[in-house]
This record gives sequence, C-alpha cells and structure tokens, in this order.
Amino acid sequence: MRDHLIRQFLIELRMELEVEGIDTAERGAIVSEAHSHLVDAFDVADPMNEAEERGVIDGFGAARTMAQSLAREYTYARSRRRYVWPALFVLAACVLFSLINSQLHLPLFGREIWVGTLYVAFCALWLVALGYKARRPLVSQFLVLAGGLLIGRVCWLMFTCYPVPNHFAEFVKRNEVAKDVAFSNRMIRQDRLVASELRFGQQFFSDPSKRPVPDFLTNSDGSYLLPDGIREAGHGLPARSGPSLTARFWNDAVREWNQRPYSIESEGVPGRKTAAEVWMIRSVRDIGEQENHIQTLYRSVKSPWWNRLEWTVQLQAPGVIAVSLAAALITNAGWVLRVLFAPIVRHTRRRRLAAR
Amino acid sequence: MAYKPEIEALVLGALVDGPLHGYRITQVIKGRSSGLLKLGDNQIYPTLHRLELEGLIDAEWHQQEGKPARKVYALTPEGRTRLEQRQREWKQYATHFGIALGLGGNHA
Repeated sequence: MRDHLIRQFLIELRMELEVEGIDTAERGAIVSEAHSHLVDAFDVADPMNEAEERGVIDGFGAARTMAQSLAREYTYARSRRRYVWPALFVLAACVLFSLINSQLHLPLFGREIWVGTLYVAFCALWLVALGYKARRPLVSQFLVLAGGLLIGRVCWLMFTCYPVPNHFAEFVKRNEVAKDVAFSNRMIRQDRLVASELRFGQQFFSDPSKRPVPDFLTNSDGSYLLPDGIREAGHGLPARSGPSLTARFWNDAVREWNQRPYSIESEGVPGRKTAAEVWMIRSVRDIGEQENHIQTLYRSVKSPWWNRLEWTVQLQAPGVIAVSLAAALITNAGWVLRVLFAPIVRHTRRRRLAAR
Repeated sequence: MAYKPEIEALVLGALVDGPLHGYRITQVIKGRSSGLLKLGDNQIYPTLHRLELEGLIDAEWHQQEGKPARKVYALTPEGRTRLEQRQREWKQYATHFGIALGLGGNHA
C-alpha cells in the first residue's frame, strides 16, 4: 500500500515539476528528496492503518502546490542574477554594425532585402529569445547601456571629432579636417567653373546665328553640350550623350538653351527658368553652403572643447537612447511572450505528460 | 515595525543545533511549537531550495542502506547571521505587541 501511494505521488510530482518547466537535474533531486521524506514519514505510521498511511500523503501536501512553489522560488533566484548579456549583445551588435557597415549594404534577393535588414532582424529575434529565457523584465542593464554608450560616444566625439554647428548630427574627424576642407574647396572650384560656363553658354546660345563653339561647350563626340551636360562635365563625370545632356544640331542646342520649362519656386525662386539658370542658382547656393561649412568648421576647431559639448551631446543622445530603448522593448517582448503563453504551455505539457 | 512570520526563519531556527534533513526539520518545528505551527511538509522544500540558492544553508546528500538518499541541510555563517537578525526582529516585535496588548514588560 505505502509503496503504491509513494510511487503514485512521486509520478504526479515529477509531472507537475515538468509542467512548471523545472530542469531535469533539479527535478530528479526534488523527487529523490520527496521520496526520502515520505519513506521517513511512513516509517512512523501504522502499516495496518490505511487511513493513517493516506494521512501521510495528505500531510505532505499537494504535488502541484509544491511544484508551483518551487518554480516560483527558482524564478525568484533567477531574478536575483544580473543578466548583462542582452546589453552586451546590443553593444557587440553596434560595434559589429559599425565595423562591417559597407558589407551590410549589399542587396539580397533583389533590392528589397539588404544584408543589414537581415542582420537587424536576426538581432531582434535573438533579443526576444534572450528575454524569453530570462523569465523576468530586464530594465536596469539597458539604462546602464544607454548611459555607457552616451558617455562613451560623447567622449569619443569630444576628443576625436569637430562638430559642424550649422548641420545637426554632422561632425568631422580631427585627423580628417584637412581632407574635409580640401573636398569643400574642390566642390567650390567645380561649382564656380560650372556657373561661369553656364553663364557663358547662356549668352552664347542666346544668339541663334551659327558660329564656332568653344571646346568647353562641346562634347567629345562633337555634339553641343546642354546645361545638364555642362554640369556633369564640370563635376568630373565621364562624357555621356543623351537628350538632356547633348544636342546633335545647332538649332536644337539653341532651343534647349533658351527654353524656360523649369520652376523652382519650392526653393524660393519665382518665375520660369532655363536649365542653365536653375543650375547657376543652385551652384551659387552650393558655393555659399560649402564656404559656410569651412568657416564654421574652422570656428569649431578653434573653440575650446566645452563650447562643443552641447553639440556633441545633441549629436549622439537621441540615437543612443533610441537604440537602447528599442533593444529594451524587444528584449522584454520576449518576457511578455513567456507570460502570455505560460498557461498554454503548462496546459499542453500537462496533457502530453498525462497521456504518456 | 511589522513582523511577517516566515517559514524561512523557522527553517533556519530548526537548523541552529546542527544539520538536519527535510523530514526532520518539519518534525523539529512541530515539536518546538508544541504542534501549534502546522506546516504542510511540501512548504518546507521550496524554502530550503531558496535558502540553498541564497547560500544561507549548505546541502549534502547522505546515502542510506536500503532507503533513498537523504539531503541534509546545515546553516552557513551567512545563514546564522540571518537567523540572528530574524531573532532580533521577533524579540522586538513580541515586546511591542505585548505592550500594545497591555501586558507590559518583555514577552519575547
């Protein structure tokens, strides 16, 4: 009788422990302990008294209650652990992302799916799995991560880069200032050249009488360059032919240079414009922006670091906080999934184990 | 202050005189309280496992001939400190509760 009662209780206890998701090793230890407890309890019970023997099992309490209490204790014990790996994973992902940035822009399966998209999706799925495994909400490590990234990025920017105050979230590395200025100067030279050639072309083609054309208004194939073609050539692009770039005949070139089909009122310029006028306006504006960029960059280089602090913080704070918040939300979505699915998982396990 | 009676304190108290296994712990608690504290035996084990995870007690398996192995628990120094803290809290609580009931003096 007692062996039957003990075996029946232990089978039920093992099943309830499995339903609660307690690990195999822990399950075995708990069942062994309950076994020795029941054997001790039965030793002091009268073997001839069935009611007394059943009372031993009743006195021990329900297997399900014990399994649930144990599961709660293990969850509590887990909650005392410091789960730093989701935050470390996000940090590693950020570093990896910045290191292999160029490879992440490779298209996959056409232009819709990029390697970077898959990488981000993989990171999100992995974080959900980590959150599911943690069995509790994870918040503090993401706060630490956000703070650490913020301080790290701001310090890095402060000591290695110069912000460009007129352009939000733009900065130039300290060792690349000369390169950046050289690039801006080259752009200015090209825009000036384009503007002067366009101005000349506009005047030249305003007279419809055919006459020799200067080289810079002629394409390598002998056709006449139109304003778009002048602009491409001026910015060092290889010579091309095409309806908007070149005209084969003199009359077509005159017509294209003088017609006014364009409106750039959205850019604050009223009236209809020729293509040459549009590109002249834009070139002059770009020259101003590049000159302004160089001036502000030099001002930034000369200013003390504390004057740059506001900008460096502004550069990184929103991005860092957004990344950390997104990672925290995704990770805790895993925990929410566990909470939502826990009753279903328990029910399914109980049915499967009962059938077995 | 409010004192919440805890199985944890009772279990630690049961182990103060030496290592015991689960069944014996329940017997000690029942015996010391003259049967006043009735705990389901299954209530002891979750607490024992938590105390073990927290490092307040140590556990060791003892093999027995012809019987299943027993897991025997013993207080660690941290567990002893926790027990002393619980004892102080209980004494304070019992004193104040006694005064509140109009008994006066120390009723710990």
